[in-house]
Amino acid sequence: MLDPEEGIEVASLETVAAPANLRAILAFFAGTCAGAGIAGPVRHDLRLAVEEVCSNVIRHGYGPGRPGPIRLEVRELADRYEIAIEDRAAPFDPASAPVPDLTLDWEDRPLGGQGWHLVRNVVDELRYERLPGPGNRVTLVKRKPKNRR
Amino acid sequence: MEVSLTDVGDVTVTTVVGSIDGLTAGGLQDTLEARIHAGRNQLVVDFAAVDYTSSAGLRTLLAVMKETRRAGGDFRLAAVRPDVHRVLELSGFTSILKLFAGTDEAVASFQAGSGR
Amino acid sequence: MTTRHGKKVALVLGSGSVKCAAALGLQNVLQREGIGIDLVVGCSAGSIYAAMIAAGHDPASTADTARRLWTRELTSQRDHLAMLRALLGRLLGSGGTFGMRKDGLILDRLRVAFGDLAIEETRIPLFITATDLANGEQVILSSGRVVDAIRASISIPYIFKPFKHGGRLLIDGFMSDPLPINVAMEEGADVIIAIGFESDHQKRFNTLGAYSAQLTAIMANNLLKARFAFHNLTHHSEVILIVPEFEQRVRLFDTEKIDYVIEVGARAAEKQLPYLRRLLELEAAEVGG
Repeated sequence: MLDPEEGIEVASLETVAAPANLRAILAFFAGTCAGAGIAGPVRHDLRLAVEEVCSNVIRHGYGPGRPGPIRLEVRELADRYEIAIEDRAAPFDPASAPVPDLTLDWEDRPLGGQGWHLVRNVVDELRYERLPGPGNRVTLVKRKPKNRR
Repeated sequence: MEVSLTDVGDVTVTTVVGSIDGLTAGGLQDTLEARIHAGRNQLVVDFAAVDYTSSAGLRTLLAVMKETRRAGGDFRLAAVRPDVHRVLELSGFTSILKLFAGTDEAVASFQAGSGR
Repeated sequence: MTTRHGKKVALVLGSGSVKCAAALGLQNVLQREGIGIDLVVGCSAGSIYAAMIAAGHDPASTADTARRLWTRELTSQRDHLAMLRALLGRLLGSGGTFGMRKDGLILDRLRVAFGDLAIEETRIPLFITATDLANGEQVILSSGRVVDAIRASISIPYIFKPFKHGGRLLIDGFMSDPLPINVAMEEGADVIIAIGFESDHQKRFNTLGAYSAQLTAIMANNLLKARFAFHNLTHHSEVILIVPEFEQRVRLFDTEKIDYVIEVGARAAEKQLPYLRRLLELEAAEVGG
């Protein structure tokens, strides 16, 4: 019997984590939202988190010139969506990404370094699992709105 | 994403339509930097039709802001939508960038005083 | 929920799309009174609520599920998988694989709500009705996946395709009987609480869609009355018919009106409560109760 906590797999994508495939990854996510009826602020926030996490895998995941696989899986549960992003790169725990210093003057602000901070703030839950092999699995959790009028 | 430019006196108003993400931020940055190098350092970007910006877009905004200010000008945003505004807030950009409700106010703000 | 009587009580939820949520108002009243339900029958959208009640869900979480499940997007016919295939085929070339569920949004959402729950596994015995496209006969589904039975029962003509189930092509249950109290009668129910809805008449008939909807409403309403009268003539169960009165118009996908619908259902249930209690031979309602 299907475990109601597992939900259903809506869509999945597996490809090479190369810059040339960012377009495909973003298009896949947009298409999945259209097919699953994910819309509004939930879609916006998941889109942002997905782009940030996948861009990181593409940019930093694997060594220069040696891209590896990236896999996305979108699941729908009764009260939330869960998107798992997996790679086979060296372990990287998002908790170790430094929080940007938002008190700095404009001259001292570094370009970049905002990705994980945005992710943490637009999803309801961010799970991380180190995979054997090695590899990483980041799961983005976003609750569905209550839809009460 | 589409970009169009209009000059209003010493201010260049850039209208962006669409999403500023990892695919499009670079192009926007190139366009804006070309204006700065051509001597136009008072820039307003109209965000009324921008539905989304990721950290790639934030990098562009910060880079362009620094360049205009170092050149004695400034970089101001107009008509930022709620979703995008939240991202700017989260990243602490609303305290370092000037935001206006519309392009007229943004352009007028350059006449009101110095470029900063 | 304690059953303080010896009679077999059935709940029959007829077709009515969002109006079927009135059953949740009734469920609230019955729970408050401690009146248990021994079997549930659902037809068309009523089958969604019947299944949730039979599975043991409380009215609040059922209302929540219904709000998420039943939205206008369900009628979008675009083939998203084909669109995605075309787009990603170009972008990925041979450098990737992808997949997307082909079931369609309504089945996806039903699966999210019910998983693989089988009708035989529900806490309260459940019966869902559909109609055989080949001969117009009522088909009673009392086994197999809840998801498949509901999908068959809500195969609204022209909105959802007929659903292949058990070797038959099934269409909406309302086409054979919008309020299937016969199922409860055949299962030996002593008291049947039936919630039925009349289809709204169209105000204007100037489009083909409105004209067709009006013809369907006329036939469905007459079928409802004819079948109801017939069942009462041929069986001996006590039937309490609740037809909630809506002042506001509630149309096919007016899911945002669910709170209002539940209230109307509760009011209609309160009206019938004294009669129900007499039928169940419960003591007269306490003064001020």
